Amino acid sequence: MIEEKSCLEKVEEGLKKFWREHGRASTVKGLHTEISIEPRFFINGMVNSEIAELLVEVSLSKATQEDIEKGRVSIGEGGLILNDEAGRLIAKVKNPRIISQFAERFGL
Amino acid sequence: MVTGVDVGPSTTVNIKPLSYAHIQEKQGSPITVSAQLALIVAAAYIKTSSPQQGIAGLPLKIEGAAVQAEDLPKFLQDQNLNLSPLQLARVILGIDREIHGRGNTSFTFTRGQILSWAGDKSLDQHLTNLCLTLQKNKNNPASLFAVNSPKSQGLLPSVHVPGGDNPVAPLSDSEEAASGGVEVAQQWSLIALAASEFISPEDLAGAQRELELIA
Repeated sequence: MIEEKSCLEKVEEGLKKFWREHGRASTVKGLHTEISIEPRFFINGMVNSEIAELLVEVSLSKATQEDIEKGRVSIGEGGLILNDEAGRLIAKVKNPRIISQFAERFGL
Repeated sequence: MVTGVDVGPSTTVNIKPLSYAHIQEKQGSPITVSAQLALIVAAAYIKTSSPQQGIAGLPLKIEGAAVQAEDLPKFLQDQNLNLSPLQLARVILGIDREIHGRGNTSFTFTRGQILSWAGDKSLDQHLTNLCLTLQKNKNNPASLFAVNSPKSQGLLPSVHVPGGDNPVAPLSDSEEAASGGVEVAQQWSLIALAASEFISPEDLAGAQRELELIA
């Protein structure tokens, strides 16, 4: 009998696909063996910081000029801010590489 | 598919076999076990067994001297090396070469000094016997590998793997935990925003409830 997966397992599976899709998989192919190193997606109930960073990067890659105009993405002294539709904070980015890449893309 | 798994605080290492040896279970139903996985299991088994319970006939040559499997725990102890099954497997598979034990002990393995397992014609038979032994003892190879990992018990020794001829860049737990360039206020919204094509809103909501229940 196949046990139905919990929602958390499905989310972890989805995150795993997401993580592979976006090129973060670390795989070593040996003669007869393949060793892959994968992050754990949730640590103590919180999304792994490595995954969080990737999630933010992908979110920003989808951002448009309209998102900036409507304040869903903004850059201030505290870093880059990602808000939801209602203006609530989703994430704050302090990584200079991510901020500069985003600023460069939109000429900010 | 049978895989070896080593679970750390923030990383899971999966070891997936690419080639298989078909081993007939005593009862008759065929199972598939990778020879390479069996090697890794062997490493775990050797590490966690007492010398008396070692697997006779699995030779390992280190520094030109043949070390029988049943002597390996003592050999490693003599060298003041306390390796996790994964680390030992990496050495056996020729991934890691230099290992620093506790204190000032260090030991360098070279590929040439490690037995060429693939060239050992009797290896298949050894592995078959090993797998049958593991089954007989109702040990699941993957769980044996994970559960008995000293890493999971906080006994991981300091291990230095220098660069150069080292195809794996091992992620240390501290390195993984150090990534702090993003502060997340709403993790579920962030996941929904970035990974909506991989995760349904229903699963996200359900996962959130499940995590809240666990907490």
